[in-house]
Amino acid sequence: MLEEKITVAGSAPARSAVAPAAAREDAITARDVSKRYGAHWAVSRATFRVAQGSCFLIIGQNGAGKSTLLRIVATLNRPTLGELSYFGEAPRHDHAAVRHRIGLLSPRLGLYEDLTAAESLLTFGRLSTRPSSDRIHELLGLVGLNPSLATPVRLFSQGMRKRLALACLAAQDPDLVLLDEPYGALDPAGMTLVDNMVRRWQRQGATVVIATHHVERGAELADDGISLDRGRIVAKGSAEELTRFAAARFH
Amino acid sequence: MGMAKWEDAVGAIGLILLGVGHYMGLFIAPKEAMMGDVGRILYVHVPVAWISMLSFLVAFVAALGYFFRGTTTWDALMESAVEVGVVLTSLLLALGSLWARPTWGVWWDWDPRLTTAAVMLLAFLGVTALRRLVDGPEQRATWSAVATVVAFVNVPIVYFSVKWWRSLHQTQSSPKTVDPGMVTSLRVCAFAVLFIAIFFIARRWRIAKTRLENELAPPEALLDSEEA
Amino acid sequence: MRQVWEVLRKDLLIEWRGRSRSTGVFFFAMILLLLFSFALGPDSQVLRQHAGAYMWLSLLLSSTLALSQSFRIEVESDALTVLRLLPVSPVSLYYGKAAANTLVLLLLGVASGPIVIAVFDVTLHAPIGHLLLLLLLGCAGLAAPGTLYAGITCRAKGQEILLPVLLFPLIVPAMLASVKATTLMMNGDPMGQGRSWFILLLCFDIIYWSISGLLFAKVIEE
Repeated sequence: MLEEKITVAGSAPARSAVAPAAAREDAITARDVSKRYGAHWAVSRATFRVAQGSCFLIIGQNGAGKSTLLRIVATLNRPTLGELSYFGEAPRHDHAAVRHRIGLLSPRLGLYEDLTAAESLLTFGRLSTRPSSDRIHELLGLVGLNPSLATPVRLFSQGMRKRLALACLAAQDPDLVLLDEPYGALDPAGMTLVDNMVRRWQRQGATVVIATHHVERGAELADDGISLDRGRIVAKGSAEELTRFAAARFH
Repeated sequence: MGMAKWEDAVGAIGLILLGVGHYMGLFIAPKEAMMGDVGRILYVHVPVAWISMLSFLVAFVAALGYFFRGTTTWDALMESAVEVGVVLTSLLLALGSLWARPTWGVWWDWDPRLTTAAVMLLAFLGVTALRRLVDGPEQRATWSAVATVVAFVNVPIVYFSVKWWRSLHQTQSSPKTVDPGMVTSLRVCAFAVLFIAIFFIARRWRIAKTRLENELAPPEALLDSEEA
Repeated sequence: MRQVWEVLRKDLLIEWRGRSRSTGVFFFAMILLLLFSFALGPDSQVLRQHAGAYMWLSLLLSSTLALSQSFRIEVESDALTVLRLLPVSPVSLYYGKAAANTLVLLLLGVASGPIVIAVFDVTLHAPIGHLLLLLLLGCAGLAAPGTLYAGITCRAKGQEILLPVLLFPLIVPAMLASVKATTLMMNGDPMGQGRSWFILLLCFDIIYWSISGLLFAKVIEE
C-alpha cells in the first residue's frame, strides 16, 4: 500500500558529534506504542529507537499523531498498548525518576499569563533546580528577552512567548528535550534561535526530539527520525532520507 | 449465558421472598404497639436502608479495587453499585417521608439518619454526574473512584456531626426487643431486598462492562482490521 | 516540604499578580451578603441570629469561584503539563495548592468580616483570635476537598456546575460546625458548646487533609 519503508542508514550522520548509536544505550526505545481515543487510533504500533545525545525528528501533517506520541514519550499519557524504556530502563509503575529528566515544549507553551518573564523563569527554575539570578539573566539573554524581563506574559506576542517557554525549558536542565512544533509562530530569527538552543542542548549531552511539519528545517538539525501519517509510522531513516520521502509524498 | 441465568434465579428468589415477606409483614406479624399499621412500613424501609448502605459499600470496595488493579471490571462494578445505591436511597427517602408524615406530622425532619441519607444520596448523585461529564475512559474511572471513596468516607462524618447538631429520631430498634413475628418478617424482607439488589447490581455490572470494553478495545482486533 | 513551599509561593504570586480577578470574587461575596440581609428583612434580632450562617454561605458560594480559578490558571495554557514533568511530587503540589487556597479563602473571610458586622449588626462575644482561628479551620475544611475536586472538574465538561455538585455534599459537616461555632461567638455561648464544634471542625480538617493528599496523585495522573 502506502508503505515504503526506508531502512535506517548504517552510518551515523556526519554532522553529529555523537558516537555511533550502537555504542551507547538508547535514550528512548519504543515498542508497538499505540494510543486509542474512542474509536480511533491516534498512534498505532509505533516502534523506534532514539540514540542518546542524538536529535530525532518526527514529521507528519497536522493530526498525524505527533503530539500524542510526544505526550506518551513524556510519560504524561499512558499508551493503550506497547512499551517504552528510557536510558535502558523501563519504568513500570513509577514514572517519577525518568519524568524529571524530561522537558517538554508544549504547543500551548505552559506559561502563566500573569507572571513576568523573569518571574516565570524563576518559578519554573525554583521548582526544579534553584537557579541563581545570574542564570536567569543568562537564559533571558540567550533567548533575547532581557529588555522585557519585567513585562507580564499576557502582553507578549506568540513569538516572545515561545522564546520564554524555551528559556524556562532550559532552566530545568532536562536530559531528554521534547519539542512539539518549535517553529510555529516564529520569525526567521526565532527559528534560528530554536536551532541554536537544540545545538546547545546537544552540546550539553541531552537528547532532543523534534516534532514538526517543517520537514526541511528539522532535517537540518536531526540525525534520523520517523514520518507519521494517521498515527502510523510510514517511513524511518536518516534526516536526508526523510526529507526525500516527504518531498516525494507531500508535494 | 450462564451469568444471565444465575442472575435471573437470584432475582426470582428475591421477588418470591418479597411476596412472602410482605404477606407476613402485612397479615401475620402483630401490629406495632406505638405506631399501629403505619409501623408496617418498617418491613420495606429498614431493609432498603440496610441494602442501600451495602450497595455503597460495594461501590467503595470496587473503587479501591480499581485503584489497585486498574481494570474495567472494577470500574463497571463501581458504576453499577453506585447507581443501585442511588435508586435504593431515593426509595428510602420517599418511604421515610411517607412514614414521617403520620408519625411526626411532617414530611421531613433534620434527624441525623434522614439527613445523612439525603447527603449521601447527593454525594453519590454527584458521582453519577461526574461519570456522564468525563469522556476519557481512564479519567472517568479514576476520577469517579476518587469521588466514590470520598463520598463513602463522608457518610459517618455527616452522621456524627448531624447527630451532635440535633437528635430526636427514635433509637435504632434491635430485633431482640420486638415481637418474634416481626423479626421473621423483617429478615425475610431483608433477604428479598438483598437478592433483588444483587440481581440489579449483577445485571447492571454486566451491561456496564460490555459498554466499557467496547469503548476501550478490543485493541488487537481493531489494529488488525485497520491493517487489512 | 520545600516543594510545598515553592508551589504555595507560586500560587500566591500568581494570585497577587492576577488580583483583579480575586477582587471580583470579593465583590461577589459582598453582593451575596447584601442580598441575604435583604432577604431576611430589617429585623435586627433576626439578622444577628443568622449572621454566622450567611457569612459562611457567602464564603462557600464564592469559594467555588476561587477554587476553580486556582486550577484554571494551570489548565488554560497547559502549565499543569510542565508542572507534572518537574521534580514536584503530586503530594507537594496538592498541599501547596490547598494551602494557597486556604489563605485566599481566609483573606476573603477576613475581608468580609467588617461587612458582616455592619450589615448584620453583630457584636462579638468571644476574643477576635478565636474567630480568626475558626475562620482558618473552616477555610482549610473548604479548601481540602475543594482543591481535590477542582483538580478534577477543571478538566471535565461542565466544570461550573460539577464542582458545587461534588463539593457541597461533602462540606455539610464543616459548614455545620463553622456556622454553629460562629453563631455561638456572635450571640453568646452560655452552655460552652463552642469547643465541641471546634473539635468537630478540626477532625474534619485532619481527615480531609490526609485522604485528599493521598487521592490527588490519582487525580493529577490522568
